[in-house]
Amino acid sequence: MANERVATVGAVDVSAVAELVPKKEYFNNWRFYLYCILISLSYGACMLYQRAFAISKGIDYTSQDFQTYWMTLFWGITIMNVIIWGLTWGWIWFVYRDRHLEQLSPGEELKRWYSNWLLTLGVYAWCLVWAVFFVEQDGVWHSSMIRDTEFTPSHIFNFYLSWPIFINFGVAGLMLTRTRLPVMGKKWLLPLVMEVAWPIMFIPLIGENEWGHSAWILEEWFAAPLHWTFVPFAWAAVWFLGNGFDMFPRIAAVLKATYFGEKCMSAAEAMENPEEATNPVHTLPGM
Amino acid sequence: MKIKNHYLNILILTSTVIIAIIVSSHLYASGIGERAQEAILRMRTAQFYDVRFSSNHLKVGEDLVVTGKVMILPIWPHELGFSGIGYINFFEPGPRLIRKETVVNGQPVFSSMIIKLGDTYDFKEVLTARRPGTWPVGVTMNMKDIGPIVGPSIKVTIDPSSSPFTNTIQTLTGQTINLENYGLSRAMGWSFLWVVLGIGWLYYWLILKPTAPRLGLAFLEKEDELVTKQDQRFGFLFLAIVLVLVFGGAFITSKQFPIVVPLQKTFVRIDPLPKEPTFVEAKVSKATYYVQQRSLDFDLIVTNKGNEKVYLRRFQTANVAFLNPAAPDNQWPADSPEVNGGELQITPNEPILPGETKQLHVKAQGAAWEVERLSTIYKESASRFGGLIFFGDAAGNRNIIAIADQFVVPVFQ
Amino acid sequence: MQTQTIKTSPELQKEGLEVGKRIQFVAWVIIGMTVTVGTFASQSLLEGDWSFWIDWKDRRYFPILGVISYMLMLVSVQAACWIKARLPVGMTLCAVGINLWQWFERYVNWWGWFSYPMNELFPETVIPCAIAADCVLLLSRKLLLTYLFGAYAFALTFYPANWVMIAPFHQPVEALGQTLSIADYIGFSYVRSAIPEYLRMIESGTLRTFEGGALGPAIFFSGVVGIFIYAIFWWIGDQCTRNRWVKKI
Repeated sequence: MANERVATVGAVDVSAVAELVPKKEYFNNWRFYLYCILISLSYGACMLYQRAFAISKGIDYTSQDFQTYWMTLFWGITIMNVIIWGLTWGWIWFVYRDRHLEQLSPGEELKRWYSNWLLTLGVYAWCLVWAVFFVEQDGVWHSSMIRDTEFTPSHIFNFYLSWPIFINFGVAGLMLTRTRLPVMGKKWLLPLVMEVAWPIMFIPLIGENEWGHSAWILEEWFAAPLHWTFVPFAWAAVWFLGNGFDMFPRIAAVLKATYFGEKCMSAAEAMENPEEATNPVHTLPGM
Repeated sequence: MKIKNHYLNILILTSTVIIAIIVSSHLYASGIGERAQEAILRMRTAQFYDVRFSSNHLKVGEDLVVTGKVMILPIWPHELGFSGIGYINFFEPGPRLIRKETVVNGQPVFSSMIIKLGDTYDFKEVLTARRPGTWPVGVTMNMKDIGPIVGPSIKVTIDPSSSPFTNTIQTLTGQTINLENYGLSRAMGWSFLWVVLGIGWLYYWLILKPTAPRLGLAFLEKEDELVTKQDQRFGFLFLAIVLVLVFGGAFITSKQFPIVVPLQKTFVRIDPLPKEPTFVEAKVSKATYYVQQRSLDFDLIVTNKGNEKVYLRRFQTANVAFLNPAAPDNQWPADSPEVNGGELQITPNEPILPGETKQLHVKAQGAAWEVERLSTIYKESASRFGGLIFFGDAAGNRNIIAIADQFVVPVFQ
Repeated sequence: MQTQTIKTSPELQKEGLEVGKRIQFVAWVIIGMTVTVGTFASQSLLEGDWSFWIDWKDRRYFPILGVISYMLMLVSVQAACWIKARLPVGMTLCAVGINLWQWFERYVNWWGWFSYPMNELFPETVIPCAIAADCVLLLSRKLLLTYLFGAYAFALTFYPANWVMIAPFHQPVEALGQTLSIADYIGFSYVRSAIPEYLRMIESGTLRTFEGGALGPAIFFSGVVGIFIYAIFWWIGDQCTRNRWVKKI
């Protein structure tokens, strides 16, 4: 068995080995680094805008400058968010979806694990990093400035840009896994769902936060109990870890099937029984 | 000639427009965030007056001196609560200027102060320019559990200087240090050491060992394959290194810095300013805000108890001041950072004679009510206002009467 | 269902190992990023100013808040890595990540944007504490012993490891007519407009302190809190990584 390659490809007649084994270059992590760099460049531009106009034009909501430089931006960003959400999620759910998941070959599945699951969630993580960066900018802003409205310059890039963007990639990762990978074809992995769902709570909690600030806490005390409601949702990182550890055995199984000729559960079987498809024993050679 | 006139007209028109834009942008100059606060509270808590900034153009290393007074109004808005702890603060977007000293009523102050209702605090803050640029700066009175009460603000331009900025101080152990970077390399060095050690630990476990098979082995509980004797020896070595570095480092530090003090935390009581002789009594009897005219009108019953005739010189609230042009030497001071609200219309506008009691109708009308977002008093949760009324005689003696808690009724048409 | 058998080769197997390594590497990078920002969000919202400012790092609250705010996430991640893969790295992974991140973002934001000097707000480190607790777990391989001794290994090393960095700032100076520590004076000098002095929640005198200060009990108490955190957050780390599948969400 060790020298033989067994691939379960459903009803499709596969004759060429080349189609079953993805090219090594496909797993070039440079693609991921490139995405991260592109995202960083666009956020870097936002940062420069903030450095240029936050203090000079953004400390008084009632001023004309604020309306020109910041509220225009806020509305632009908000409309952009809705469009991005609609396009990304709509495209994944209705267009990009694989309607014949049960016919997936291990080689193709491995590629999808890499692109649709790992790298999409990687980009999600990178957007989280940037979101937290802007949270920190908000911290320095409020430590130094008099609390204006909830549309203060640091909030515009924090609450209304970086958070919706990471939510976009999180939901995209969840949808891609659901529509493109057999294990999630019929059931949902709880840690993956939670890892995406929990941080979404940051957005509704803006309401709680700003309400509290409008009522009493005007000065900045970063560790104020008012901010603690965000904390449990930061623990979503543990769900992320769970998702990684839980899915990894299936990746190992399709990798072994693709390169080592080992047997693995077919896509159709994995759809029916994801618990068994992600059993950690699959990470061991020959199992 | 006609053509020339035509060009001239265009030139005049263009200049007028440009000047109008400049003037209007000046008129609508930004606050520093205070306009987000409700008018009913800005006008009824603390009032800054006589605030002066020594300069609005500095070089790095030069001093800016801010002086002024702040009166805590005798009746505090009950809805805010009164903690009795306050702090004279300086507003700037990060430490573009460093603070050298704060003096309140002649006493140098580091910490927060115990504040009493009705008291006036005469403050001076000395700052040194540190970072080039144009920065909004101002004074604030922070009240514990309540928030910042914002005083007047200006924009300060700081030019670069040829010599680098240093902030030196001598410790009581005789060392002269530069606070700009003191102790930083030590903190960086130790942090770097720990990061290197941590990365070593991660490298051993995450890079040298394949992770995937461990998931299966852990599921099957093959403990001895997962953690070998070598792993444990490695762990023991790391634990020993960490403990030696932590406690050895702390021990050496205690020898290096034998004289240390904990962080200092205390409140100070400030001696009140000497009482000034009172020669005027005044009380507001009825107040109205005319929404369309943007005018706050009130009736004032004034008694002059002194020996000189007295003028109502100024009405001021939330950094907006209205001056009475009929009072002698009462022009708008060029160096005042406050907002000039316009002229105060008083009927009858004759000085109050010694011993006289009379009713004045005071009208403070101007766009500043809208611009400074104070006109909202008629649509907030309590329609009340406060402020300071300045009386003075010809000799320059001054009496300041606080309106603390006056109801105001709006007139919409 | 049709299966097709194809021969594999040593080259193909080598390629497979290579692909596996790449995936493993980028997966750990992504996981490292996520737990870093997760730890950071949790830590900074709980410790916040005690972590930022040199004149908040006192003897009564800093040793406790430092330990608590970090341990929540660190214990969960440690539990996940240990339960799932017997890797005693969870705490160190978070600790290294967060420390690098804090230095970076404080340089860029606090110093770069608002020009607070870095010696006013360099972060504390928990890397030694994390390595110590990870080592306790590795050496004991027992949950109960880790709860007890891991928590204390973390708590007892926290203040000494950071005292090395903050001690120079506790030398006395005379300023504003009183004795101040250098840290106090830095906090006064480099103005934080929205953090007035009274907000500084630090040790102030009581009628009963131990040997002239609250440090010893604070450190000892932080260990106790650490034990409770271990009990709760180990469970959370376990629960969040369980392989659970649901039909409907």
